[in-house]
Amino acid sequence: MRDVHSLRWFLGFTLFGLAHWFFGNLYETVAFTPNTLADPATALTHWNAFTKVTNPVWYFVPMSPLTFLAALGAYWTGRGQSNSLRRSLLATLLFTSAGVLLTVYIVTQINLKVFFSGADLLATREQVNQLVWRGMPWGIMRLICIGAALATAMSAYNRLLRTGTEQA
Amino acid sequence: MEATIQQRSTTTERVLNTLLLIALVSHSMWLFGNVYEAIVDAPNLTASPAAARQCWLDYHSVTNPIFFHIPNTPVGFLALVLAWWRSRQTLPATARQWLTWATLGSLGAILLTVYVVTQINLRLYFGGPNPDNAEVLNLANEWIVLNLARIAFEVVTVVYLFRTYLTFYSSRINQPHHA
Repeated sequence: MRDVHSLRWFLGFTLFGLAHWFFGNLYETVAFTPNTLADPATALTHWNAFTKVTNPVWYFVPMSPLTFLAALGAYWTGRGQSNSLRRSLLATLLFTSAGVLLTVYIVTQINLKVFFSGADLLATREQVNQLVWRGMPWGIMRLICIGAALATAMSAYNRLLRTGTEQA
Repeated sequence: MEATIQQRSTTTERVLNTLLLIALVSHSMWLFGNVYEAIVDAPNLTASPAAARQCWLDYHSVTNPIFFHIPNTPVGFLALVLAWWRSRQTLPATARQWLTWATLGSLGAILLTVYVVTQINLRLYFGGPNPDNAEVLNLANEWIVLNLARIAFEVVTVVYLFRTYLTFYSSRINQPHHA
């Protein structure tokens, strides 16, 4: 009973965190990415000049790492639950982990170089453009992974409700 | 006869379930979009306001936040109003009350959005003569305060919508024809 209570909390937080993460990434994909496609170096020069006070890191940290921990907690506390619920929790954890790994790659290989290096992007236009274009598919893959994690977390929550109803 | 009534009831429930899901996803998208703007966009307009505004305009040469919010926001609002309308005989009284709060929250956010778009965004981002530092700062500060109020309305909507959806889902799986 205590495990179900903990699982509800972990899963509830996971759902909230994944929705926060997914819609944040979706916002960037819709409102930002197309502006960067044609000439990344010029577009990102404007962006870097704009973000002098805050930047997207403020939105994603610490929520996204906490979401990963909550997904891990949900999987751990759901060990004694039905097979179908455990499968949904495992899928949520795996998709969230994929999102984390993709984020680590995107941040270390692209974002640090184009957003936080302080370098003149226009001076190395070719390299910057290639770097940004190379990163685009990874960003789309991350969006898909986090979307899938959100869908499986919702499915797990519905299964948990069903389990609770059957036990009552 | 009984089978027909049951079938009709199941269809009504499916439609309501779909409307609630669309409204929930759409309002979550709206909420987190506004949170993103509150954290990432607006504060940057408070330092060197006119220059920051120009950088924002130069950057958004292809798409801008409108692409994120339209048609999502009107679709979500419409789905919520329809769900509220269709829920009269389907939802338990408490859930119906929650859905009413969710609808009122969404209506509040819509009204605030109309004000923000017509009185602030059109001057700040879209057209008109270039505002000076003081004007951009005033508009940005007004936007930040009103956006916080809008986020509060959206939180009310998403929380009550989620509770309604879960209650409705539980009531459906308790019914014999769903067993």
